[in-house]
Amino acid sequence: MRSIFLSCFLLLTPIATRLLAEEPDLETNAELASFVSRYCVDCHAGSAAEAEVRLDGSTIDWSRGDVVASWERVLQVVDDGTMPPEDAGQPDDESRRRFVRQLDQNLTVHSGTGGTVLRRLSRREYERTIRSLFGVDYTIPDDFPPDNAESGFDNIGESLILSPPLFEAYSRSAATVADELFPPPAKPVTSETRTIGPDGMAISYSSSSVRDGAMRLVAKTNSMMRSCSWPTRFEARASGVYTIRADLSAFRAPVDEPLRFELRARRVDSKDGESVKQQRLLAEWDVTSSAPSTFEVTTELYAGETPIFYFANAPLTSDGKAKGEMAKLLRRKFADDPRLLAAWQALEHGPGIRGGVGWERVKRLMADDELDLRDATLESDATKKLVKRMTGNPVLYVETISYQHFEEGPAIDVHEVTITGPLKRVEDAGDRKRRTLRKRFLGDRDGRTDEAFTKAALERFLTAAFRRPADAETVDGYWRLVAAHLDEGHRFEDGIHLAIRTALVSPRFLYRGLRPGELDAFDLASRLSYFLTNGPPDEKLFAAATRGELSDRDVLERHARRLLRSDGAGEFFRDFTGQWLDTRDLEEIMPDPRLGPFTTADREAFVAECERFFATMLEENRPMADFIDPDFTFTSGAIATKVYGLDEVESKNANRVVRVPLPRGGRYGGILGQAGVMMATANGVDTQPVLRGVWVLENVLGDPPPPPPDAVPAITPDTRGTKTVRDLLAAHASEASCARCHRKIDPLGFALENFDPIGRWRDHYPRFETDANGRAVPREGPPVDATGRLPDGTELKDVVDLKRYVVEHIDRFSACLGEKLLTYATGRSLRYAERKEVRQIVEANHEADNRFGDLVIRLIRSDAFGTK
Amino acid sequence: MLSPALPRRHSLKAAGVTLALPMLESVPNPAAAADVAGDADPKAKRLVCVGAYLGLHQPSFFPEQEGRDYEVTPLLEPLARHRDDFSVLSGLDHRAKNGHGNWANFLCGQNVGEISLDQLVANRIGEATRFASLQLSAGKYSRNMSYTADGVALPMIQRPSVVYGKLFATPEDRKRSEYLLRSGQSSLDKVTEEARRLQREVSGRDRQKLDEYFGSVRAVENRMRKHLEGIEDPIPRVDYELPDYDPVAPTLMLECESIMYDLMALALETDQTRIVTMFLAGLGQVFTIDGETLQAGYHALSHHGNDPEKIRDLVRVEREHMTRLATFLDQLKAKTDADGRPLLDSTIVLWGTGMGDASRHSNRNVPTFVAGGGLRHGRHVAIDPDGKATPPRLLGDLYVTLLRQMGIEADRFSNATHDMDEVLA
Repeated sequence: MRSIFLSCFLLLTPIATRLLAEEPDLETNAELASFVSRYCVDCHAGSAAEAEVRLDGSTIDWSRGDVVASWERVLQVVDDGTMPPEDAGQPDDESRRRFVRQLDQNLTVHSGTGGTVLRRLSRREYERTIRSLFGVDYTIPDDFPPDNAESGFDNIGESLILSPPLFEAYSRSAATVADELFPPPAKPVTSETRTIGPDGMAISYSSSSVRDGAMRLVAKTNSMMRSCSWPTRFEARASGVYTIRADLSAFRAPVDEPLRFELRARRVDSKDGESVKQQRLLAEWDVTSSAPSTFEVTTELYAGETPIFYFANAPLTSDGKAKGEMAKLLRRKFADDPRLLAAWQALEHGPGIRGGVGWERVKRLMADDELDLRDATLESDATKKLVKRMTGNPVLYVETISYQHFEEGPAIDVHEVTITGPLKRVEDAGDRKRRTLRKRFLGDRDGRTDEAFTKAALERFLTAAFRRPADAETVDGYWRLVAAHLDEGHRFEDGIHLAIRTALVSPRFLYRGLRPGELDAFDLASRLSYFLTNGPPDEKLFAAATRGELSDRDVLERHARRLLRSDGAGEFFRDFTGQWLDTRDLEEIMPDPRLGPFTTADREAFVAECERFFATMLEENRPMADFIDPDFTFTSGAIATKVYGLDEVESKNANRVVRVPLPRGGRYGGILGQAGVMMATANGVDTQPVLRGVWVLENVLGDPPPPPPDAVPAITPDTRGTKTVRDLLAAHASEASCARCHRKIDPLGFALENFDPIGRWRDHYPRFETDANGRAVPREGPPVDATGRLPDGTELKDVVDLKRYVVEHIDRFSACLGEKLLTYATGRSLRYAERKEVRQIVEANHEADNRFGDLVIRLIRSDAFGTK
Repeated sequence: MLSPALPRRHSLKAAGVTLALPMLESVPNPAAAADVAGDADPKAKRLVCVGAYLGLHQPSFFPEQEGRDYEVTPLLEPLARHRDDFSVLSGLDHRAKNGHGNWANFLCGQNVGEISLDQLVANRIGEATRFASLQLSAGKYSRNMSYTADGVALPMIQRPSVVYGKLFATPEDRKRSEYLLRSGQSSLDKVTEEARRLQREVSGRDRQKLDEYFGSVRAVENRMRKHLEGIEDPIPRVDYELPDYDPVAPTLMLECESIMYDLMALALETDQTRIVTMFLAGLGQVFTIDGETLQAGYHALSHHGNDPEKIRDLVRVEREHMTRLATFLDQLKAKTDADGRPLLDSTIVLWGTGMGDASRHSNRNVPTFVAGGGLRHGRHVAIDPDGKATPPRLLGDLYVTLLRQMGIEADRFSNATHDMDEVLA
């Protein structure tokens, strides 16, 4: 094992230039220094040094990361010939090679392996850790400050800062978790009666509407905010038995079928968009009478809940999987009323028709004497197109059609709801679970003393919490804390509560990787399990660590393979791809509505494609080249049609993501053709080749460009389409300092220009014109020019050529991905020597069939992985 | 130097680079710097920032005329009685990327995650009060607004009862929090001892990491001590009755907004904090205004696509925001500080947004409103209406002037290097 911190200084003085190295096998470095003074310092000296790289120091402090990083940049630019610049004196090839070799040796020795700084648990890791530690359904509360990202990931030791607001959040969370097991005594609550009229009930989107003095429900969409109403000013203050009385009536019910009303319970704090079916069912009532009748149920409501009102067999739904049902409803409506059909045909569609505004417009059109009825038959193409259009965006259209149903039914009217309680307190699911968890935490008393009983529980708990066996000293320390608290006259439960609260803010819980050098068995077990599952080691892994087996890399590999097959691996796939491919950002991007409707399900399908593709690459141990040019992908029927232009996706549910075959050598598929990646690298409105180019360099080719200089404004394309981005960027080419990076960046970005902001292929940029009503209409704008020439002379016509290029240089990609994986796993930006190790691993893996699963295993067996 | 003055190179790649060690040394903690130059008794002592997720319909907000004699627009009408006490500013933004994602730069400047205006002020004057600052949200928030110097986004409180409980706890809640605070002290002693032991075993950067830990523990200890001291104090008596439900249902967002304003005024009046921010959400809330239920949710209205009916409804919602803001200003005029002067005279109220035009997701020309704080008001300030000035005039220029008004020396904010002293101070 090499020493990590070499306290070695290189002296580099103008007069007697010499380099001192402690490693005897290093060649003398005088030459290195003379190269620098001859070719570099003319420009790279003093405070006005070019590119802010100063090479005129008298010493080199290798212990400083930023110093190592600048010398790495020196190595890179001298190696690839970018430096010295063309107009300066040039070294001959031999001097250049010697310089590069010597610098490489120095960097390898001085950068060393390892050095992750104390790594605080990230939000996700914290959440998973609490769950596995206590068996509670814990979700990180909203008041937790988010983590920062560095090197593209949010689990990097350097950037996982512990700040006072976070520590406060940890303290609060620790108390909440402790309350889960050992709650404070409950407060007394008296029974009350609440009467709730329609003005005290929620309306969200087009879920309901107040008509004739009642709250009217018309839809059964399985998202509360799109179909339900609920009391806005009632929340059960305590878990108990309540009597809920509701005055309900049917509005224009069909003769043959009673209207089915469901009363369910939701948490007031939960997201309004949650599934209705997942809310606890309290009562089901058939509503048949058009005059209000009273229904009553006595049932349990738990603290924080309120009842929701739901019309369970409503004809209207905007659920993606009920498109057939919606189409049938539309055809029936249209068959019954040709004027309605004609009005919908004549309607100017667009986001503006969402809600009641749209229905008012349809009615106006229906009343128009000049309404064109020629295509108003079910058989006409116009009707088929209309139905397809409407079922293609159910959320928008159901919001509008709801207003027809508010007027015409069928609907359930909720006139008044009365809630009385709590009539008596009940143990809720939480209380019951608490009892079980408490038992699990404490174990059986078996006639032991307080001390023996508590210590046994503490030993188990602290071992799990600190992810290594708790020694007697540790256990004693926590026992003394508990004992002192009991001495002050507090309850036994309060003592344990305090111990839990304390351990959960202990540095031994919050940080991992505390010991320098080669990881010991327990740190290694933690590194492996947090890498592959975002959680602490499971029993099997911990047992192997305890038995001292993990130093055997074969055992480590066996556990890695086991964890990759476990449920926890889903966390890894989601977390890693979300950050590597930036699909985590998709939630932040709202595509320009002018590009067409884009739903949450579409977004989810984009993310799922990236995740499942990555998971499959790993599970099937696919060749590395398949990352770029695969013969399969995962997508939904909706996306296949809307984005990829593939017709034949077999799935009953348009939003279900399924595996589909792709021809190799095509536009779509792989990380350079996935819509989610293209959307994440654009901003929802337009594409910026520079951003995508930088993205490819950083995430595919592993050659991140330095940050742009100050004072250069970002290029914003002229959305009226008179000036293309290419025109604007051409200015860079003439500026030498820009050209140095942009000749690398721009061709990569341009090669992806055929993908619009949601990843659809385009041959022309859109140009949006405004019609008489002020609405945007897309027209064909200037053609997309995706051609470019890479610095090595390779000509690219479009993304297909780019993919071929990357496949031909697949090791560059493998090294890039390998570095990302290892960065994510170790929580540090890799050092020079470690990146060299990755390149060696990539080469060895290439020799042996070049498959992805093998690469991951080799990385796990590496020195870099096994070192703090 | 204030940290927003970091050059673009440092902040371009966001937190990652700015957190690297050499960078840390170049970013002094504003709170640690004792040289609060400028006024010992500044004109403005309190800061309120309100950020609306969907912004405002620009043509209904910005007056056509510049200067004092502008014609009142539909969205300024509810505020007309305060006309001499506020300014409307147009033409400003942070010159940052478009889209909802970048909304959060409202108080940060060019990049989301740079220290926000309110936290910059809190670092200087927050020590003086029980809460350094309060972050509230009316409606479920989908974006962050306040960021610490470390780039940590601060959570916002969505339930009025929680805000109220924080400010004016019930005796029962006090007992529990007192218990948790007191016993928490032994807990912190224990983990500090563990961390000390660890510190002896680790080296280099890990030591500095542990310093973060010690620093956080100390900060929390101080806060706990302050809370414990305060726990002996009588609860500030306020004549305010909170409803016995929390208006967290989407339909009740405007009601929630009113209550939050009330609580903000109370918090300032009782001097429990001098810095408050509030986020105004913008999702599918369907509002009932003057007894009429609007025909679409708020977010759908904001994507009006220039549809006149949608714009009409959108403006109705936005007028509700303005009405509440006007009532808040009434309260700040009626309530007085220790010297008996109206609170508004020494309180800056900034009402703005990170979104210029929600219908197009454009972040240019963000509607901006400033009241109070002893600034010169009464005008529509149209700065650089054509966006031609070089360097561009930025929203950050305004923030520089606001900082100075609060007695904080500043010559830049994020990417902005000018000020607006000539029009406001």
